[in-house]
Amino acid sequence: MRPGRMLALAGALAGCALSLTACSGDSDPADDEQSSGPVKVEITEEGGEVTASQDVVEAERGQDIELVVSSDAADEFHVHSDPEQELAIEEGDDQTFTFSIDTAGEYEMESHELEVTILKLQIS
Amino acid sequence: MGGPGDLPIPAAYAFIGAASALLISFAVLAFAWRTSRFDGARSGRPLPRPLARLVDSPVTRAVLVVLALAFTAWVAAAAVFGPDILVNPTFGSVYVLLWVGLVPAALLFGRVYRLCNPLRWLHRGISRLAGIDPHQGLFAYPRRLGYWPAAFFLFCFVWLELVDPQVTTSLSAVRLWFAIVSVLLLLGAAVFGDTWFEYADPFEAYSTLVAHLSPFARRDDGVLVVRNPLENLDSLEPRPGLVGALGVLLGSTAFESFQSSVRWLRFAQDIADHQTLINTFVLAGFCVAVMLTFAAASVATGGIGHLHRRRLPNQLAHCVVPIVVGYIVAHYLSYFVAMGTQTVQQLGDPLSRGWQTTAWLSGIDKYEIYNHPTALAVTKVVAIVVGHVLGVIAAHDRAVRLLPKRHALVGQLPMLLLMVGYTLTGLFLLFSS
Repeated sequence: MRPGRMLALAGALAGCALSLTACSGDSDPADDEQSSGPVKVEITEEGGEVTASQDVVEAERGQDIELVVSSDAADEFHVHSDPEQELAIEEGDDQTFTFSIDTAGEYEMESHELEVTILKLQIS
Repeated sequence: MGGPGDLPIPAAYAFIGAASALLISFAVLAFAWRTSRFDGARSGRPLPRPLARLVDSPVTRAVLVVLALAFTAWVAAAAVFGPDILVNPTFGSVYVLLWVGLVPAALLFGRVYRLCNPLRWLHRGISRLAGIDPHQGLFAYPRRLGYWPAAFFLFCFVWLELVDPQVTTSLSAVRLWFAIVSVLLLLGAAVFGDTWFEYADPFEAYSTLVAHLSPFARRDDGVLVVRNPLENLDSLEPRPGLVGALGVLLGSTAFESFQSSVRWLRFAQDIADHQTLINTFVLAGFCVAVMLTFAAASVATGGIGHLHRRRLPNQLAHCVVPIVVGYIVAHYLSYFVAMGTQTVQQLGDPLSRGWQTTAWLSGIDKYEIYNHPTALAVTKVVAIVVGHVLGVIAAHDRAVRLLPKRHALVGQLPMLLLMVGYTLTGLFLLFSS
């Protein structure tokens, strides 16, 4: 086979892949405001360990994310979105924080005091 | 550096990418030409006379060099006199504009980094002052070293970038890194003459490797040509250490994907006290794994003698270049667009004095690219598969040239399987995050 034909074949296959994936749909979630209620996540910080009800939290752009935090120490949770989310955690149970993110992508939420990643937010 | 990361690609895309990579690989093996077609030394159509004259004109070159050196000085001023905060443009200039930006620059314009390399100009200046010929060192550069110094310095750079976030975003660490590496490179150039930069300067070596995938090139006879990038790739001279340098590039990019996986983050929590040490070992492990698997697949080729066999890894290494470039595109595209825009905005105020030089750029939404996850995912898969296919074709052409006819097809199998392995790993890392 000649180089030109080879590249044409590669191009054709890539094209097939493209059209197949295009069929899987790409509705823009920012357009339909029908996004269901808030996504809820529970986070517990105890004895220097922090655990969340989900490792990976999926939400849509603009959809509310509701954190219910119980902690035995003061801390600050960071989400490196733009603008940055900084949540001041106090000692006590069931503190609620609600925020949303407008840009799609993956964000890590970190505990500032413990310097660990708590969970990942996947905004689509 | 803040901002979002890429969403994982949907599983269906990964499967389609993997299936096309496999299918095309074996199609190449079964149907492609049986005598080598690529000829890096002779192929290519000369650029139109006026264009070639413009590119070669001393004025064009002087303008380009002056701009590059002015830019370097601007960033150096931010690094030395600017405050140690994240919005200091030094970080973006180093990790985004230089490290990622040199890839598109080399693909579009060939070996421009070599022309603009600030260290080469510094070395030239010092040599002029001392009355020495910059080409002349105390010793001739030993051929056996090849690209190994570049592999070493490339590893030092990815170490700075990936191993410890505290180090990565510390201005003093970045300053110290560049100070030490520049001194070592200048010392090397004093010993071996300026050939040293070609084989040791991590940015120039990286740029030169990628430039071999550009449609534009200067042939050995000095003629500027436009040609099939694969012909250009064929002209990459096999040297010791080529596998080393490419192993660091591919291994470190894979490590960066792996590093952000949930499983690794969980593990990293438990070993937080020794994070730097363990990250260093794992990063080195990724790089060495690429080098060893590549060397093993190369020498697993049948039908040729022992002596010849030992040279094979570097004679086949050029086929990793497109795989690296495909993976870099997949991995860095959104990051380059978003953080590149941000860096340009920051460069308007290098010392954080509130200068409004780039205020007119503030209306741009630098994160817009993230809001098109489907287009982004498709681009990533296509980049990886195209890189893979180019690599397979390059390897096939080289194999039918090097191997005796009887072994030309079967002999390629280990390398083909390895490349499929690299590509599937790359797709898996993109889809699992």
